Amino acid sequence: MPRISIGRDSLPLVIVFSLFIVALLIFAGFFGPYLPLHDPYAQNLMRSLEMPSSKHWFGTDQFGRDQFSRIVAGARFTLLIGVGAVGFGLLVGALFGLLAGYFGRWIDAIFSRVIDVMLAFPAVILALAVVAVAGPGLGSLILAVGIRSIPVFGRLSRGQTLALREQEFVQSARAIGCSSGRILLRHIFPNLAQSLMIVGTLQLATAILIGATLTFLGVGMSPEIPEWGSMLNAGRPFMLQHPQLVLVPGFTLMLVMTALNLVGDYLRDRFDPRLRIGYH
Amino acid sequence: MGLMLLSYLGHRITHLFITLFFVSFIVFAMVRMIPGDPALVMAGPEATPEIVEQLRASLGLDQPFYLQYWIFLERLRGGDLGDSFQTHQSVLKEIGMRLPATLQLAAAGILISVLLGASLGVLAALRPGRSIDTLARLISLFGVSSPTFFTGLIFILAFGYYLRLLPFAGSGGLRFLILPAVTISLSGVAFISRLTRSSMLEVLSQDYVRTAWAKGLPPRKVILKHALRNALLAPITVIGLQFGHMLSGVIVIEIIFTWPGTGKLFIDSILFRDFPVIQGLILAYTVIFALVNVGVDLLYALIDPRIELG
Repeated sequence: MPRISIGRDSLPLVIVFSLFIVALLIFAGFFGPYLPLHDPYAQNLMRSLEMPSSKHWFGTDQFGRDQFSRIVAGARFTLLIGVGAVGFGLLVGALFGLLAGYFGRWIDAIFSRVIDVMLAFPAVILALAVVAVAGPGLGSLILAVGIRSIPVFGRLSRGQTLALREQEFVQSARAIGCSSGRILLRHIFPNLAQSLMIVGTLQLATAILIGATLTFLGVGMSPEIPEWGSMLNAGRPFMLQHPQLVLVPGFTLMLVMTALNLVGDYLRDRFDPRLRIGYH
Repeated sequence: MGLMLLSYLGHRITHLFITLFFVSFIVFAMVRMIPGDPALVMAGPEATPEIVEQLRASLGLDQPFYLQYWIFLERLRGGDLGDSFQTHQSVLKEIGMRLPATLQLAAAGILISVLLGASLGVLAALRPGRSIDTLARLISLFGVSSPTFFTGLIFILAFGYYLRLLPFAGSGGLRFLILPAVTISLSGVAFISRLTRSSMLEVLSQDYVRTAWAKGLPPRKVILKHALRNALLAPITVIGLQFGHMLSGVIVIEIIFTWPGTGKLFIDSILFRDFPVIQGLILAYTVIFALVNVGVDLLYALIDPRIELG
């Protein structure tokens, strides 16, 4: 496989390309609104459903809104949903996983039961249930998508804490009288951080996918918001005559997910191949 | 063996009931967790105060919490999931009418992902680095990276609209099943083919496989009888998990292909906040998911006699 050398390191070409896509996503997410593009919300019914042109690179949708600027604006929502959901799942999961793994006994018993029950729901169905209760909106979307990654991070940190607890450096920290809080935060958590980061990258792709699935189903957010899943849903009725309305947001989503998956896989294989089994 | 299997089955079913008990509690608590006044939200903006009061009483929201749950379980035991707010039909009937179509699609999806995934994985493992391996890699990369709903739309455009090979809307006969079933199977094909490939590669390098080659057995026998049977154990464990993805995928795919299953009912009931239907469907999905997982565990035990049950 072709590789590219960067400084002392050499990276596979496909990883460099994936990193470029991820960088583009982050750039569009942060700076999208400041770029000299059409207003992603501005309607112009005179120019609806136009084919791609030099004025509208990806054409226009049924309300005459510029598809390219909507795609760029969508990056922000994709990032917010993905990072927000994974961050939420990671914080909650890691916290309870640490506590369950370190203290064991009834805390662990309750934790494990709760995880079992959470895993009894298929992912999208759990997310749909949360949206049903919390109503539509960005916040409930993040919550809905984030909840399903709690068991992933919870199990990972519980398992690793169980192993780390018996290590000598933890035993010696305890022997010199460190509090449990200090041991967990200063001695055990730093050893977990890397695995959590790797699994987090892999979870990012899944979170973005589930978020887009909910908005595609029309239950996550208001349809005016330029989010890729919503755009696919809005373009669906017109897709036989204007396939670019679904192809553009679809391929964008696919490209971002592929890039994130490849980067995550690469990080995992390089830094912690043990994670290969069963964690995502 | 028979006795152990029986006691294992008993163990798993107890476990199943405990999980379902918790699930039923969550589904029950769902409605009570709606921010604000659940009765007001559920009745909708046009409801008169009398209707809201009526709803509150029929849900038992004026009763203490533990009593509410007891009433919920009592009704559940009798198969009473309440009536839909939209159609005023019994939820059990609404779901029962559509569930077979959903299960048919999910079963077809699982079947395709296992058959296609396992064969692709075996072929890729037999010729690592060759074109069939690359093809398997590409298919699994696509299966993992393409959102199910986008794959569905592409298939509709490509095979349904441009090539006019297959029908892409509605149901009736096997031809209507092909496109949606293949669509939902793709992520499973990706996962299972990768898993089969790596476990097949591992098995092929084992001593007993080398022995089988050395004693001059025909390739078909070595591969199918000695290697494959052992290589399939790893993929089988994930089928149960895959079924969860499958159920999630089915909801989306049913909407795209206008398949007459529970998917549209589920989404409509979320949009209308038709909670009896939402509760009923979530219960139905989790029960099916749990049962499939028990089934897969048993299958696993049957295929591999070494597995310690319990």
